[in-house]
This record gives sequence, structure tokens and C-alpha cells, in this order.
Amino acid sequence: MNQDKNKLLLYISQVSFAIDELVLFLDTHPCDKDALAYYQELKKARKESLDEYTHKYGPLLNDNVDNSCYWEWVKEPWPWE
Amino acid sequence: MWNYERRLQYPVNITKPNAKAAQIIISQYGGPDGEIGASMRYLSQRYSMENRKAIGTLTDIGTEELAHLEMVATIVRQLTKDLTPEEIKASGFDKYYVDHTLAIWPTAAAGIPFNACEFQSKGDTITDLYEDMAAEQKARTTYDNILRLIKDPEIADPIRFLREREVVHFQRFGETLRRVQDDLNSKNFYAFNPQIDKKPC
Repeated sequence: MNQDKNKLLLYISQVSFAIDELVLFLDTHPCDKDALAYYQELKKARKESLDEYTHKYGPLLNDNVDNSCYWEWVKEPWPWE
Repeated sequence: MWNYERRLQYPVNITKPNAKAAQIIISQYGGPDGEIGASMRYLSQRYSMENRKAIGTLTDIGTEELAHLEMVATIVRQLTKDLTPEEIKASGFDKYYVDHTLAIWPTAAAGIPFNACEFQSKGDTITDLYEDMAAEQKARTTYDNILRLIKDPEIADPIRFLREREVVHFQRFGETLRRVQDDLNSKNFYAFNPQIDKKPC
């Protein structure tokens, strides 16, 4: 993997993990206004970075496959490879 | 319904084979306090819970545990994929290898296969949440034990992340239990949960 690809994937993992953590916090604190605002901010950041990754390097989610010639889902390496 | 994302929750980049470490860490894949038991426990308990917040917490933590299962499998895979037959024999990994080659299979470190009897789904919200809190602490202790046995930073770094998640999940289940108890009748001193018999407390 090249440097830029690694950096973007790391950023997606960081922003997605922040969402994982925040979702659990919101499950037990559903009225927390700061947490709700932060959720909106992170959701936007995740969508933008996922779109950028998909466009440049291929899909991380199988519903983001955007190629009519080849099923790209089976082309990219899996996370443990 | 679940979606799969082609990435780990936290990066795992192990460059050196280590069969001894793999044999210990595989316990968090299929051992008594491993991630498969954790995920199955929470995802199974959801259906009989009457508290909506508790169902949300179980769903989201049960889902995250599947991501941890993938991380543990990745650690074991990266520790074993380049082993030589000599290393397999010398490390004692031969007993696993004879049945599973270098595939990932849910077992405890001492060779006991994964079994659903390692968790409960009791149909009593309070009973189940106490079990969940205990489960997070038991898994945290197992990660502590792994960190006492393994010092290689490439391996210890993702293990520390997994350990930290046990601490956070314990906290969230504790809050969930408190909220469920807040909804009980104030005269219900012993936190008897009437979800089956609906008796007045």
C-alpha cells in the first residue's frame, strides 16, 4: 500500500472509531447535546473520507462498488493480508 | 442486517512469525472469555430485553465484538502464516496444526473448542446485564495476562486497544444496568426483575 492510501485509511479508521465510541456513549446518554452535535460532525467527516477513498482506491463497503466492468469488491486485499 | 467494511477497527501490522504468541492469543478468538462468546452473548440477549436503551447497547457492543473477532484472527494469522515446519514443531503449535493447518478455528489456548455454554442468555434483564459486566472484566483480565506474557510492541499495541475496549464496555453496561434499575419500582430493594411474571413489587 502506498503512503497516501495508508494515511487516508488510517483517518477513516480514526473517524469511524470516534463514531463507534460516541454511539455507545449516546446509547446511555441520548439527551447529551454536545455528543449529538459531535455525532453530526463526525458523520460528515466519515462520509467525505469514505467517498474519497472509494473514488481513489476502491470500495470499503460492498454497496460502494461503482464499476460496470468488474466486481471490484473481490480485487482489493482484505484487511488481514 | 449487517454491513461489512474491508478494514480493521484498529490497525494490525505484525511482521514476525511467533507461534507461541499465536497459541496464547487464539484464546481471545474462541476461548471462555473470547470475542466470539462476547458477540454471541450480547446479540442473543437483545431479543428478550424490554429496555430499549439496553437493546441499543447490546446491539452496538455485540457488533463491535465482531470487529474485535476479526482483529484477533488477523493477529493470529499474521503470527502464523510464515511459520516453517521446524518452528511449528519446536513451539508446540503442531497440535493445532495437525487438525487445522494454518486456518483460524475457535478454541481456547489449552485446546478446548468454543462452546455456547461459555455464555448465558437468561431472559432476565438484570441477570443478563450483570453477566455482561462480568464478561467484560474477565476479557480485560485475559488481555492483561496476554500483555504480561507478550512484550513485542507490534503484538502488544493492538492487544492494548482491545483491552481498553473491555474497560469502556464495562462502563457502558454499568450505566445501562443503572438506567434499568432506575425504572424499577422504588420499593423493589432487591432489584428483582419482574419481566416474566409481571407481579407488583
